[in-house]
Amino acid sequence: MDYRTLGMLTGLIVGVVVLALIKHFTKSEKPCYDERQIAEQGKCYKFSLLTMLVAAAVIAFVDFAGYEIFTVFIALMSTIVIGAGAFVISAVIKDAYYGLNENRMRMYLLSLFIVLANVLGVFRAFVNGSFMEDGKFSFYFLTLLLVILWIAIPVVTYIHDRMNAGDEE
Amino acid sequence: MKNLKLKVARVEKDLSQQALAEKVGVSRQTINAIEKGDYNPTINLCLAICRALDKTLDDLFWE
Repeated sequence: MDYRTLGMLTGLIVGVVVLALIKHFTKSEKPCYDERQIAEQGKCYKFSLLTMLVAAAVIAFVDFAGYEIFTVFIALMSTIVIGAGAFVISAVIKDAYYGLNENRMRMYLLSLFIVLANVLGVFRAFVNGSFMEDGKFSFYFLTLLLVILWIAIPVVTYIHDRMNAGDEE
Repeated sequence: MKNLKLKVARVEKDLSQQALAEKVGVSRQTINAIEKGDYNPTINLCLAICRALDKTLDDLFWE
């Protein structure tokens, strides 16, 4: 077993343990959505799909332009991560991401854990030059996208909640 | 178009948006969206709101 596989397995195990701890200490009911939220989620899925198509087109355009910086795997996974990000952010803005009575502290803790667990690897990849291998983005590019996404989710949630805290007329 | 009749009925009952939302099982944002006219509720939700506010559908949702 090489170091990369060992590192991934270790990360997976640590992740499962931390998720179990967060779940245990932030008891939350199963998410339940009202009819408006479900309708809004449908619109967010549509927006997410369109975003994925645009992202795929941009990546293809970059490739056709002669900048072959994406492997097929990275291009595919990047498109999925960007699409997922578009869904989550748009759902948060439309008040359709968090279910009724859902504990937001869990999401804040989860975001913090995921960012801390990944940001060091991305930083190290930038420093030692492994962010790109043979002129193409390595899987650290995906890690960077995930870090950006998991920073954006709590930030957008916090700002949105603050802005709408007093909107009851 | 804003649903002022719903808002007035809610205030008459001395309920906040959050309190009404909890009574009918939706989020506060959904009640807010209905009052602002940003969301058209289904007939089931209309009925639940009417029951919670002791009003008829005509009172709250008919022009």
